[in-house]
Amino acid sequence: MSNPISTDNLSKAFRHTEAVNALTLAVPEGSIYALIGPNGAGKTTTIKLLMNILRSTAGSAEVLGVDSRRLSPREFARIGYVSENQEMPEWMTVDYFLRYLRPFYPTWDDAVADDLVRQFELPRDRKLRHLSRGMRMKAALVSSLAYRPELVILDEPFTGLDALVRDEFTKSLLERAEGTTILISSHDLAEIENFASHVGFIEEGRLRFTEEMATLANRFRLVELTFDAPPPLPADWPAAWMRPESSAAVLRFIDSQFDADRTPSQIQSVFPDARSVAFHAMSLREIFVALAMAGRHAKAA
Amino acid sequence: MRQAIHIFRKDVRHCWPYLAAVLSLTALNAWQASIDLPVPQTYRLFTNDSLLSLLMMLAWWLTIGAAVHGESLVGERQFWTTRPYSWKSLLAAKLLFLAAFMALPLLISDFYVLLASGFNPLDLIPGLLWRQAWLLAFLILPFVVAMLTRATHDFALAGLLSWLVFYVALSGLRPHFSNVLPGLVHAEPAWIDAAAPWLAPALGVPLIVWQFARRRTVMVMLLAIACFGLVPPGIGLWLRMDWPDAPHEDPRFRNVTARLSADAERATPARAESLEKYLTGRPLEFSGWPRELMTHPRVTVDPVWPVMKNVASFAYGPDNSRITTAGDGRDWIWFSTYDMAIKAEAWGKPDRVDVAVTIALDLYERESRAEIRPAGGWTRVPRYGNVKLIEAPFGGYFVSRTAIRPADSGWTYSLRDANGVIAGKATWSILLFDPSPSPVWFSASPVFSYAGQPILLPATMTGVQPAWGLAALHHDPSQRLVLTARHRVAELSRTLIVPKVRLADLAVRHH
Repeated sequence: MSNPISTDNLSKAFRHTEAVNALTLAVPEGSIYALIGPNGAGKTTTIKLLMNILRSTAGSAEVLGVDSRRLSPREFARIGYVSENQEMPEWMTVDYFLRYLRPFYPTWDDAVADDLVRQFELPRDRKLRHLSRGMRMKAALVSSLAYRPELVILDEPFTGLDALVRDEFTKSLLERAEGTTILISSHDLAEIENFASHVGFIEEGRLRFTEEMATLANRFRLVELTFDAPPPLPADWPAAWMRPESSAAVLRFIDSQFDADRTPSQIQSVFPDARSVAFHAMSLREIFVALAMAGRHAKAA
Repeated sequence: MRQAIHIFRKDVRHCWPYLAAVLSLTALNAWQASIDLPVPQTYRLFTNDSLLSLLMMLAWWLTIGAAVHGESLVGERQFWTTRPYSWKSLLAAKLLFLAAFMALPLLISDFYVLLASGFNPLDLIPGLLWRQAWLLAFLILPFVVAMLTRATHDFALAGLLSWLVFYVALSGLRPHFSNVLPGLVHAEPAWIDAAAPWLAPALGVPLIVWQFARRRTVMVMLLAIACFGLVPPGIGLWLRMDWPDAPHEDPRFRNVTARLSADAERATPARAESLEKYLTGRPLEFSGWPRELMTHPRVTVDPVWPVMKNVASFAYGPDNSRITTAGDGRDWIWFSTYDMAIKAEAWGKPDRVDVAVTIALDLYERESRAEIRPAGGWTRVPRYGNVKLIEAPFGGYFVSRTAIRPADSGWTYSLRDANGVIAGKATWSILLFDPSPSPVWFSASPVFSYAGQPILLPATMTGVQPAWGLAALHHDPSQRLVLTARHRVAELSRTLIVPKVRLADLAVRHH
């Protein structure tokens, strides 16, 4: 099994809104796949389709080799799912919550659960309803890692968490889920950038691109050109160059298809008067903002 | 099954306050149903336990809501939907919960009440199962409502609405139909009543299974509304259908016939004294039933055309009827009055009407006898429970307890002296009660207590309520009240349409 998650033209419509539109993606085994996109892009809906919480209106998805609409307890015993807005059995204490879930999972490891509870400093005898948001997310994570799942799906896990909790959360996740396939949707791009191996950008229900993180980082560059005079923008502006901005004698744009061998000569041919050219690496956040803004402009146009 | 028990144990832990309430109320109900009650003020004793019954039912509803909402089937955010839950285990856990904390306690309570009331519960297994069937029918509704709602307030609101609809449908329409359609009350044979408790499970169980298996809330909700919405018209249609009124193929009842007598000579009006605007009946010829069986006739008379809004007709019981045998060997049932009220201004408008005369007969076999001494203690009658006679300042009651099943039973009584001679003119054979047509389809107690009609003491109360003065009970210790238990073996009904009858010919108008 090479792809624990794969979708084929997966679609979900709510009345007249296409929340997910012909989404085709593959999450490779062992990868940490970050699903990013603006609010309302369809990330959570995609995850709910994968977890059979929602039913697709078209297309299909496979999770752990099984049609997502036919996920059974056998598959759920191999999946850890944590969502920011999941309703928990509030009346349970942390300890009872974990003890209650234990018989559901043949691979449940008390040592892992105890370790995580200690690491997160979770109060065992406190009811879930009395936990802070961060603590609740930690409890949910403990309950989803204690059985060493093959696949972990996290839906916006960092929302509302402070930096310290985020760090603890991420650290524990990476320690305990080594070798596990992880699908994570998040707005916290800086956090994700540190550990995601793959990234998929979803916008208006469509997957704009999906690729390895390293490739993405190499592909995007902020290009800065300096001229003696304000530069004219050529009529045949390349499609891969996004968000051109000029001020005085400086022109900036984002090259989404940067190639260290090819791009300099391409720039030279488009802007023969450029006095200097500088290429700056971009963070995931900058790439995300650039893509989101480009999408918004394209929609407005 | 292990997973189901695991979920069940969690539900018990979660719902313990509800369970404490349910079990306490069940125990309280059992205790109340088993204690000796004071002399009743009404025909049926246990009308004052309605608050306890209501509390029990409320506790059942809320407990079911709490248990089902433990794993809410509505919404996209429930933690359990992404855990290795088997829907079959989940459903089994909830049903186990119902069985353990509602069905089983009620069964135990029933055993206790029956034992305390002089019954052997093992003789009444079908009746106990019947009650369990009714309990299931009763609990299906909150179960369905709970699985289609997400939170307690939704559940409470939806539950209240559905209960109102259900209550109106089942309780409200039945008497309503009896007024607008002739012969509805008591017209359906017993097997229809027997089938009634299975209606809710038949509709509800498929919905429950579907929702647990697929969680298609909107679809299931629409179907549930459609199903339960069909109940009132379904019951109406059910009652209006032409059901066979002989119990199956019993050859004894094949030749039963009834007709309005054409013999005017017999239509001698009975005295009705000051009953203004009431009609006095004409005799009905009714023949062909086995003579060894006692009958319990009731009659309604309704103008069916044209519709007369100012007429109200009700089933009338045996007190106003007598059975006589004519010289030709045919049996006649004489009704001293038809309970048919016509407003004075409507009299004679129109002059001729089509009339539907419906006669319903319950036929009884004699089963057992019990002799009761005045002021004695409880007398145990096999299958019929404990009976005792209570003297009141103005007469005497006999108080009986009977199990809800066998419900097809009744009592007749006679008063005898020390030599076994029937005292005075007490030659009546009157059925004192008949639980089966009761609209109470589910009661918190398996035992009904009934009070016989007052047996007036002539020395003190002569002339008062003469219609009730059926027998004279003297303060003679040698006198005995002989109760004869009877078991209903058949319900028969015939509706006779008599066209274009002058009301004046049909009956006598009193002024």
